[in-house]
Amino acid sequence: MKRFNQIFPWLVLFLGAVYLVGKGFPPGNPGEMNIREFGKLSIVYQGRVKPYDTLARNSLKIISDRQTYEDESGNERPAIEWLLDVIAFKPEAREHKVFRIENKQVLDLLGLQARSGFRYALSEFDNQNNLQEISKQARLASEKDAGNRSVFDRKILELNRQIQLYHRLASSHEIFDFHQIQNRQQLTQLMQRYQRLREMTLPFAVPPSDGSDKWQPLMFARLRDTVNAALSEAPKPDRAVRYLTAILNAYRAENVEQFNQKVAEYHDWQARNLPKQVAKSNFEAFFHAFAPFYNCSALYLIVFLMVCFGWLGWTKPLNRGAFWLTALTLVVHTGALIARMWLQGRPPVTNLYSSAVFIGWGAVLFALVLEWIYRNSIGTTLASVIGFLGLLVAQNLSGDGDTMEMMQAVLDTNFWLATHVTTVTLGYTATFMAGFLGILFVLRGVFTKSLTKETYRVLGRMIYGIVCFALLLSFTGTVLGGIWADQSWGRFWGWDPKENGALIIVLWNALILHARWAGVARERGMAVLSIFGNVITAWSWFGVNMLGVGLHSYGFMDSAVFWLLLFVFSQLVLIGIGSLPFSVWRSFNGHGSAPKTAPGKA
Amino acid sequence: MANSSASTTPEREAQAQGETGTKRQRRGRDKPLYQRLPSILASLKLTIVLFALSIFLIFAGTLAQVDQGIWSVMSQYFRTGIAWVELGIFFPDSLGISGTFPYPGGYLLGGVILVNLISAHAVRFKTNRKRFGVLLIHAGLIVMVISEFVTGLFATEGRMTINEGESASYTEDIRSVELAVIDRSPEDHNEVVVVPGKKLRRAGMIRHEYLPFDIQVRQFMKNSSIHRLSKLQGNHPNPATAGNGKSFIAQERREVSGTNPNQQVNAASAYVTLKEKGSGESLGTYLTSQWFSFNDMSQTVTVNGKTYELSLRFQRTYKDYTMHLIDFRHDKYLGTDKPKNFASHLRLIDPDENVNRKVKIYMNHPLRYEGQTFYQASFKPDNSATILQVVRNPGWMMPYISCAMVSGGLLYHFGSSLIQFLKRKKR
Repeated sequence: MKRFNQIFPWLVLFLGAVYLVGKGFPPGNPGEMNIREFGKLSIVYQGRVKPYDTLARNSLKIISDRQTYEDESGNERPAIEWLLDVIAFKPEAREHKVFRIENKQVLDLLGLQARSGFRYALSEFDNQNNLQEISKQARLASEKDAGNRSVFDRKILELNRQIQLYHRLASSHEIFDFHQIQNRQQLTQLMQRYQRLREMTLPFAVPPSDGSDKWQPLMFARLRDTVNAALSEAPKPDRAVRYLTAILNAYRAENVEQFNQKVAEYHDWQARNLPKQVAKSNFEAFFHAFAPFYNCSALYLIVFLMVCFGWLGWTKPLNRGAFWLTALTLVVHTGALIARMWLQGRPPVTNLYSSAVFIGWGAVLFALVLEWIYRNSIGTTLASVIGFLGLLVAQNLSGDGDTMEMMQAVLDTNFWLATHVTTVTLGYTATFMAGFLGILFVLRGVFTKSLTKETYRVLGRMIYGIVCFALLLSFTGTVLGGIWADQSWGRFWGWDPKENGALIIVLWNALILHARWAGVARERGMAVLSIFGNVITAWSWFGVNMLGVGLHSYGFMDSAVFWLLLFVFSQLVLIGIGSLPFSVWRSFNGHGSAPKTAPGKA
Repeated sequence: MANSSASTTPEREAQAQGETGTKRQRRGRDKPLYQRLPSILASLKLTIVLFALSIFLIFAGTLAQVDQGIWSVMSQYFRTGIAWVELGIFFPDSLGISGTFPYPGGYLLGGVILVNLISAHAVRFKTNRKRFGVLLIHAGLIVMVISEFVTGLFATEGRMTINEGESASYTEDIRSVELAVIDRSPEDHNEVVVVPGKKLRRAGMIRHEYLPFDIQVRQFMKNSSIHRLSKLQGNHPNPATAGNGKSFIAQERREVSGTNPNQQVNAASAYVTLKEKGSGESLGTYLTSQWFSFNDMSQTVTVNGKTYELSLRFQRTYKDYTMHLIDFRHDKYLGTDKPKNFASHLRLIDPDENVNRKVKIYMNHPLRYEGQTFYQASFKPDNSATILQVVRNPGWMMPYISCAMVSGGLLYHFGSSLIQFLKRKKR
């Protein structure tokens, strides 16, 4: 048994590694269409080269709020299959139940019945009447100020965007038989349609043949080649166009052999002509298939369960196992962050999504250091909770599509992104960590007998130390932001909402420390104040962004606002619990009063 | 991360301070207020209260930006001694809660924080090596607070809009407007009489010796939209009786808010009645609007054979130098409308200083010249013009100095505690 106790942490580590390897290299299906290989092919959309697989996942996420869909028999299928059905104009594409429509008024407008899952096929609602009605309602809604739009307005705009995205994906890959054109009228119609498409944001499937960066949508490239051929001044018919045409035709005809062969040939062709981009695309397709952040959050959850069981018994082996499993997960988490940085060519935090990933990562790193120093499972608990929550929040922020979107011109500076944004985000991380330590302090003290005199002191020290770090990081980060602003638009400080949010965090951390130095707050006081730090950080991180769309008329039930308010409420409840007199804390029931270091008035 | 040392330094010290604090209070309770004042002003408890008050002020000043522009919020909450906080900002609009309450404003809180900080050092702190970090942090913070005062009181900023191939020698303050009455009859220059926006807002009679008429402001709208009368449905009473106002009508709109992601500016309009000097006879009620200036629509009034142009425009400041826009470049990401970068290629001409050279201003790369800094701020949608932000802030260096001081202080203070802590842990 003793031997097993020693082996156990290594066993946990080994099982974790096996799990990850299994996720990274799923088995293939010989004899079927090699759709995964197609997913690795490069395409340009929204300003960057990405694999078809990413385009498929992001588009389906926008339309369906998921990265997979269910086929007719209820089996889960990957997004890339749906995308291929759409761009190859397979009749099944219109039958996939992917459009997420959950608003009752929108459903009524389209004559649809609410069903579980709220997902509908295009064929169920895209008759002429409905399409006219949708575009009319969308026009009315878009004429209103963003702040004045009702829930119905926003939902109808959303649906309109989803339908348009579907058509843009399909039209950009249309394989039009130009020889069908019989008369001038048909030609004019085609030209008008293509002109309208030219003004839209389309995926550019055809790489440049002349070494420039001018990618083109497939249907434009086909038109160009056809015209060139007719004028018999064609340089050479574009190889990429021919490959793509063959691939899509083979897919529609369900010709497995032809499809696999052409995909392989085109893949080789891209690898020869665009080596750098293809390397990134291949890696990105692997990255998304592996879903590192999803797997990390699963592992953090397991760590948390191990720590919880550790409180009941068999403590030491479970804690050690949890520590090493967290370390393994952190390695994957770090690797995934670095992978994103390489794919984007950017520092780790570029948008809200990546800030959530980074906060989770930073907290796990700090917490493991705490665990290394104190070895009392507090660090591991903290790591698993914040690591998991950070990734959960990130998961819910990825709904806008591409999480590696291009940066606005004003943000296009890796220096300030690397210094200011990273430091401020680490400041958020440290403030959250202090807050969660505060929660642990309160919960263990009030509801369990585990807050011994020793733990009471140790937790107090941890909170104090982390708040010091939080102040250092948030102050430095905020000031760096001011310097960036001064460099970019001549104003060190403009009192704008995001700046104010950061300043409030700095002031709050300073307040906690001064309260401690003044003797107004000791261990318990700092714990309770730190929990309020969670509220303040959540406000600066999220709440401030919500103001931009008009919180007052936003309808308080929008999901992000709802979750923020729920979080704030839960923290206030915890503060209330933490402020209860020591006589009702279970940990101090036995001896009637708190440890001596606790001042009565705190 | 500092507690075993912290139990020797901050905690023990805090206890000591706490005890002496209470003792002093107990002893001083019978003393008159003016004798107790120094210790109250220097107390840590006051610091904590001030932090809490500041946090609430900043929070309120952030929420207020949902409805108000950033500049009104700044003068109502931050750059003022007393802030009048609106109750409505804490509740959804639908409840219709209104009213204000007074609250210490940014200048007051900043001032008291300064006093607190300085008297704490004067009364309580000793200077020694351990305290060096704290001293540095606090000195840096003093610099920072003062720099915000300096910026609030002395900084000026304006915008310079230059069309491609053209020059500009004035900046516009997009926060304030002016009504210009322009006489273009002299050959080599224009005679301009300017009525500042503040006077327009007061809606009274405006007289000036150079003008053959007085201006009576009927209605002033901080932000407005204008509509062609012929396109409007229903009956709209039109106050205007002459000029552009006969075919256009202005409607008041809500002020552009600070949290608006599109960051538009207000477009003011005003109905003014011109009255002939002496006789007091009305020359008609005119609609003046920034919408006319934006669209290059001028309107004139003729008195005694002389023609005057009426123009409501952003307040202008004329400069000694001229900026000539040679070329404006604006790249977008492939297949999107997202700007990748924008850059202005300009010629800077200042005859007084013998300057005539090409300059380039682009994102995150401003030009500093003559105590002013020029930033690439924006551009016109069709890329025909660049918009530069021109800032003069005598205190612009102070945040940099302060930042270095505070960061150094924090590192020293927390770093030395950390090292002590780790040493203890090892033992």
